[in-house]
Amino acid sequence: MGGQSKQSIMHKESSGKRRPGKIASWLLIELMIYSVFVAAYFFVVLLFLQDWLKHLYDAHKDIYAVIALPLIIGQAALLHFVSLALRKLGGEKLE
Amino acid sequence: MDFPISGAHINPFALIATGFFVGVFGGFFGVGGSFLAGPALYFFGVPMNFVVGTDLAHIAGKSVTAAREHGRLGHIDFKLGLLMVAGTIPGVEAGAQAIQYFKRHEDVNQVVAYAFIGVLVSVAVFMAWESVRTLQLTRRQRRAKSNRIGASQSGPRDVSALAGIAKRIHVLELAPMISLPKSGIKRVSLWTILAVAFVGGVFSGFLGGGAGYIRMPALVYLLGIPTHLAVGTDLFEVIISGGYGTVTHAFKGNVDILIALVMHTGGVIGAQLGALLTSAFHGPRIRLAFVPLPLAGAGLILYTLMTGHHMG
Repeated sequence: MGGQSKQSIMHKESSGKRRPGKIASWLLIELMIYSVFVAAYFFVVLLFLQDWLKHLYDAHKDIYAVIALPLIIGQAALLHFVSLALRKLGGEKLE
Repeated sequence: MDFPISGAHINPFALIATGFFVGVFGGFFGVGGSFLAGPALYFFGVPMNFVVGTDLAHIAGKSVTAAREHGRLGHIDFKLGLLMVAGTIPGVEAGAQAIQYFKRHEDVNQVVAYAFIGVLVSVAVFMAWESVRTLQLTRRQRRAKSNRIGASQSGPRDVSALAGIAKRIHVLELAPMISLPKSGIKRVSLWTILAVAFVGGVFSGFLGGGAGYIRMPALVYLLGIPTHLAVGTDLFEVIISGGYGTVTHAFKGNVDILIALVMHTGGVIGAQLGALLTSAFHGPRIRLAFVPLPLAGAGLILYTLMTGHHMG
């Protein structure tokens, strides 16, 4: 085995050792960005929705039932998109 | 913060943290996490009928993105999933009707709480027994293999102490018989699939969540579906049971969608962390590590029932 391949193995091993630390630190950054986003979303969207949803629940349960599912699925899709974007950004930074 | 729909008063950060931990454990163990979310909501002072409906809504949101990931990896047997829908929907409705019955008789909190405890303890005991048996079996097989010189090496397979049950179910001749090529099953009675789906649906409609703690073992041990396909197909099923359960429970006034939305925000990031942790553990050891969680959920419900103390 030549010196070049030995060197590349050593490089791979050392980058392999660094990687979990890098992933953990990026996950922490991602968590912080995500928390800020969720806090803003929480106060802007959910607090506005509260009275409207309560009114629907009391007066039009059928409409409330139809709206509940798209609301949670819509939020899931939105937050998934945000976390994917953050992960992609993290992936680029880790390369 | 007041949640006017259910009348509960809960710290939103406690809800987000619950969603986060449910997401971590869900991502790690490949389950929805209703064994923790339900007891936690009850502990926060949410009435049991709302616990069931709200947890269903929360799980429906979670399963959409998780199922998409599994679909991308080819881990869903769509034929099996679609056949199961026919059993799941009547099951969810039966469970939801049972909740309405107990709500009318004003003992929904007690009945659901005791049913929850019974199911969670049974799941934990079964998982502990099965994982210990499987670990013993694996050790014995390894020893036998090392004694055989030149034994042929087989690829990675699911190891389970209960593999024989599925074989016995496959030979049950109850027409119509169908095949599931994706899951590697040549012949199985449609009725066994519908029965598994119906029972899972009843648990989902009556106790909330995706009932993965029932459907997953049933798919693996009773129908003999490979674990990775069982996880993906179960998540696909949860979209149906969770989606239908959300609508039917919301129509019956059992869903506080605001609680579900707040809790779900923590779950998204928790699920990622959980999935990252799975690379460290495999097979029966992961199932053994799962055992304390349903017991913790059962303990939380029992504590709330006995003391009447709600954190809210």
